Amino acid sequence: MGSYLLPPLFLLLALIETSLVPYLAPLGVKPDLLLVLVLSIAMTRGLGQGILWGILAGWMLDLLGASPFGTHILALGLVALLVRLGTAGLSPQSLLLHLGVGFVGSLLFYSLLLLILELSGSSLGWGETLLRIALPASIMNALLLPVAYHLLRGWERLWPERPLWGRR
Amino acid sequence: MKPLERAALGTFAPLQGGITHPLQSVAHLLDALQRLAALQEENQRQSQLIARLSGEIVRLRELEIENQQLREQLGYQIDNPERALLPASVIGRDPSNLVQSIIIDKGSAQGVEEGMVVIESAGLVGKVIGVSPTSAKVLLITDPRSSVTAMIQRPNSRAVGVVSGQPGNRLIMRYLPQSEEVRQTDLVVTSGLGGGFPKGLLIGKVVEVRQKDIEMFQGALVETAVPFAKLESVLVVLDFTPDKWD
Repeated sequence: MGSYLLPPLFLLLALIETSLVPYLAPLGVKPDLLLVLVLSIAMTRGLGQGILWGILAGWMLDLLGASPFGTHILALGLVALLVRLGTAGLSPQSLLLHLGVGFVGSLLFYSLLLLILELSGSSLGWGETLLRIALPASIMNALLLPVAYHLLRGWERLWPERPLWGRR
Repeated sequence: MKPLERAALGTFAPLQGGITHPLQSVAHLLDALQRLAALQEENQRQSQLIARLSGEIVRLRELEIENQQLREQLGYQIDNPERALLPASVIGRDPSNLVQSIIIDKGSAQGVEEGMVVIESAGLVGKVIGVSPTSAKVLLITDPRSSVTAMIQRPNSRAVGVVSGQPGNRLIMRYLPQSEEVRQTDLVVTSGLGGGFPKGLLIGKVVEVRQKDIEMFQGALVETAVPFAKLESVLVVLDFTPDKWD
């Protein structure tokens, strides 16, 4: 039951990211709500679900945004894969792990986005982008990830189920 | 009868006082309780009135702001009567921190087409890159993928360059010839070259000149004229068709 409620939750978060969050952005940089959720899912629900929900979240962001279609699908899918591979075997309860995954996962996400945008013909300065945008956003996402993780665990307690596929 | 009356008065008055005073206190207490209930009712009514008036104040302030914005747009239309302008509200922004775009509430049903230029009373905003019947996506000039041919607006320096977006809502003007003089506070406007944008639209103001003798061109950091972080309403230029280069 819980997994079937995730798509509308993703859509709600995507709409919040496009309408409300930009006006609340401290220092002009917005937190990435869907990225944080995808990282939490990748840590808790396994590789298959992490990639699946990463692709779904990326699809929603590409539909609502102006980046070339497929940019976020690829970036979120890949970052879910890399995070899951990197955290396999580690205890998902650790706060340090949450902060580390949030920070490193976000930097990876921005690096992948930059790479995809460069390959599609957009010229962004890597140094400036990573310093001015990726770094502050990664810090914000890292602080949000423990919150998202615990909310997700609460969600799973409310609607316990077998994962769609993939192991925990 | 007067002596009898006097005697009765003198005898019964203390008794009357002994009964009346406590009863008066009870009567005062009952009266206070009645008034308390009425006061609570009045308090609730006043609280509701305050809440309603507070909401009214917020609504009026919002109308005041909207009025000011519409006056600015109308002022721009009056100053530029030759342009067909369609007012639109910003209803969404790009979810990515790397891409700068907005979604407006006007689409093909109102005559908006891909490639149309979008402006604000303060200056150039961007270009329409996607259209649905009721909304449109606008790529802002602060997006790194945006390029606008521009020139310095000074009588003795009409230096031409290209303005493109930088991370963090900044603009950079590149390919300015080394022989041209560029100063801080110079205004930057669209040059009209290339046919992508009408000529003369304000882009911003030079805040830093980047010039090195060993380089072929000089550059300039440009502060945008439009407050993109607070953008709420824009104008779509309906009667300008950008040139298409195949």
